[in-house]
Amino acid sequence: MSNKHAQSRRVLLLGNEACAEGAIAAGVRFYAGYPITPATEIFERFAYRLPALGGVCVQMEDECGSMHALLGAAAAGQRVATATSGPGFNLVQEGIASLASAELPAVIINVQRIGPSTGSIHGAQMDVMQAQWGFNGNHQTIALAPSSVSECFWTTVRAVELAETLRMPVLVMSEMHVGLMRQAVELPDYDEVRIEGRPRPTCAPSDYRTYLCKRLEDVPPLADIGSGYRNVFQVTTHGSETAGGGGMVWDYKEADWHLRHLAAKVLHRRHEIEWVEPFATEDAEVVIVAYGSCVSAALAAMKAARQDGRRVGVLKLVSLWPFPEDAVRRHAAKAELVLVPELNLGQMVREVERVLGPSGIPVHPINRVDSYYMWPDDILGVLNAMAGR
Amino acid sequence: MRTEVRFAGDGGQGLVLAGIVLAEAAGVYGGHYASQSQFYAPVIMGGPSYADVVISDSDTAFPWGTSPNVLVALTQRSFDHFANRVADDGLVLTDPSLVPERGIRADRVVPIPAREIAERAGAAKAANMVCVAAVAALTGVATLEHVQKAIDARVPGRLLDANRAAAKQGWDYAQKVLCGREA
Amino acid sequence: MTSARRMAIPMVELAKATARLPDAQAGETFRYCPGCGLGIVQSALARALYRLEIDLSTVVTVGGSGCYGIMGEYFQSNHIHGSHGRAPAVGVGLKLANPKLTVITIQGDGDALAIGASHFIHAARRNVDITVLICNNFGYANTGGQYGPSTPLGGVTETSPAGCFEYPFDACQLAIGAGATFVARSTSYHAIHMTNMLERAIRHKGFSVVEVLQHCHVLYGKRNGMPEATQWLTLFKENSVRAGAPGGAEARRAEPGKWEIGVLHQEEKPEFVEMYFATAAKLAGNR
Repeated sequence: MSNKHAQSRRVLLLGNEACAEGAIAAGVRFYAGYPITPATEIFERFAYRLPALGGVCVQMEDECGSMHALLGAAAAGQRVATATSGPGFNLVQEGIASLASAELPAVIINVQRIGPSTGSIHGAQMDVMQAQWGFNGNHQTIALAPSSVSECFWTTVRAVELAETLRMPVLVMSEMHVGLMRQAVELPDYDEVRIEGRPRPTCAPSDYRTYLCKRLEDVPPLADIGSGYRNVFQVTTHGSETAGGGGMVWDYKEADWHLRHLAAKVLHRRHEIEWVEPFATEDAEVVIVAYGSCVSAALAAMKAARQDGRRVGVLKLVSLWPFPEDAVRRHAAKAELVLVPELNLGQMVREVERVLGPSGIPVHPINRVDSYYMWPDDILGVLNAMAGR
Repeated sequence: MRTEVRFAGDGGQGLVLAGIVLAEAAGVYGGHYASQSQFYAPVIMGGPSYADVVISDSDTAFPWGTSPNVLVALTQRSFDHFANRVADDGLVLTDPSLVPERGIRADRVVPIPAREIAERAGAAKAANMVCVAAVAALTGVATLEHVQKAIDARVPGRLLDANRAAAKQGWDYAQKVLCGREA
Repeated sequence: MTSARRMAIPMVELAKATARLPDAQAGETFRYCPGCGLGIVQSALARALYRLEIDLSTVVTVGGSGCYGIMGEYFQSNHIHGSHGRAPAVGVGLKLANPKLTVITIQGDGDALAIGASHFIHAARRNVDITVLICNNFGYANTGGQYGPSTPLGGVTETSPAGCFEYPFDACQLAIGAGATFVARSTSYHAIHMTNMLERAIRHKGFSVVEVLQHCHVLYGKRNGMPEATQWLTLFKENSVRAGAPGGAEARRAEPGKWEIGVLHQEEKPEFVEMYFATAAKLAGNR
């Protein structure tokens, strides 16, 4: 059910459609997917939009196939994306690991639903730890969590930029509640959406190596397969100067470089990646740290509490990984209590506890796993109970 | 000011489309904050279903349903289930031909012969648009012009005229009978 | 192609054009076991690429986890050392993103027929223009010799110590059934034949498969009474029946322990990437 008035830039859009539009605005022209509720609208939007843009939207045999089609297309120079949900998020993990190890860019949108396994199609935030720790090996992922339809658009734009500039898979951790919500949003002129692309080699083809860079935190320039530069992409551990046949001699130093490099290239830029929004945290005695769909409940609870004269603030986390620990520390510095509402039984709260633990500020989780969104009353109830103690 | 509308009934009654048209009228053409969501079940016709619309002046309004200011109930089951959740000063808009028992919150019930009006307009299935226009008229969240513009954008061509006519008559009925104003 | 190029291929030229050989002075060696059939497969692929005279910067080999996985690194072309079994899916992505690329997946029997079977058959069904080279050594070798989907009934391996009790896949029949438009088989004895098959497969427009029966005397051979590479070469020599050969080939191929080599199936059918863009253009035109 799409709007026939294409000329209007203020549109009523599903969160899922906004993710697809954000990716398209950011230059994604290759999508490979597998249908799954509640993420299918993203796939359908791409299938409708990409052919007219000269792009490719293809349905693969499973999510694993989608991910590896993305890997091939990214290696050939395309900006690529896929979307999935819970059970499919399990299946894309192998592909995310491949892209992370081979250092190829892709955007993976997970419209979270209840799990484990098939669970149900209803809303949840149960895969946020999986976003960081879902696949094997040591790595640092980047994950962004939209809390509104407009943020579905902009987090996907940013995810494409981070993926391209850092040569790695980047996750958009949407939710059924956000993805299947329609909101009236202003869309920008896509020509005005300018993002940085992948770093390109300036050397001669003969000097090019797929992973050549000086420092651990550098992002190696990336040439497309077929552009005249020879690439050897490896999901195996590899050194910076690997030129193929690198597997011929085992080198423990290369393994060490590879693992440290994958972490360093992200953590070195953690402040550029950090995306948070504080609301009235300056004087707040209680800070609600919220992300995704829980942000709306946190803001509504804050408003009600402020009307009662209580100093409550909200710290909205848009970037979940790497965990924006400096921002949490900064905005909770004066708090006497930190609340962490989540649609799971306590996942990101562990990170908040880890960060605030040394300061002794008590951290209290608020959890819902009954498929509903967080209600403002869920948070107000805890606020009232805490005030009465 | 936050206005929450719930369209409730069975799958196939066009509840989600009603939500979309109201949200688009108020949000896109009216320029308000508008958010629309639905109870989501696999694609099977005929089961219980509802769609929520939240319209507000604030960009940070809570976007999902909590307790509706207006409930549009198009089946007895949905009336029985949701009437008690309506806000204290809220309204329950319902078609007596579809919902014969209207005892719950009787003081807040507003009857509207939506199906009959839609039939007169050319298609009984357009009862949803009668209700959209009536809700807009009763709450002031959208103008008839904006509702009809949203119908133009969202309803397939062959049903367009009937839906536009249904909205017009729903609007007039609400203005005249429910608000006591001349259209 | 010049006939000189086909007739004689000087080894030095071959090495320069297609292969990055290990640097002996730096202590590098080929990582295959001595006498492994993979060396023969690698040189056949090198010869085929040399004969085809393609710009190697437009060639991509895609490998996975297994002894064959590093083969692509020895070529001057691009290589993706990907995950186990996923090479055909990577190939679909590569071809859709840049149809000018020549994509060759180098896979094992476990890789293509077990963990990656679904990618293999769906790439075949789509008739995507890639070449799948299956190095079939009758089981898993890189992990130490376990049975797999191509281990013959009774074959003794580390995980089938009393003999394999599962029926094997026939990779070629599977490919034909799935819609592949060029299917051929060769063996590590038939080095020149294998080169010809690979050359024709890469040249073919559409999904092409070359299954190479390739000896692993070190693991599978040792446990099944054939510990010498030469025993395998003799076996392949004596039991291969040329597809379409005159003189009772039909009857001989039906004998147990015999297999057909050569082109088993070939047809012309619209190719996937071309069909995608033709359909996309239609869709774009309708807007």
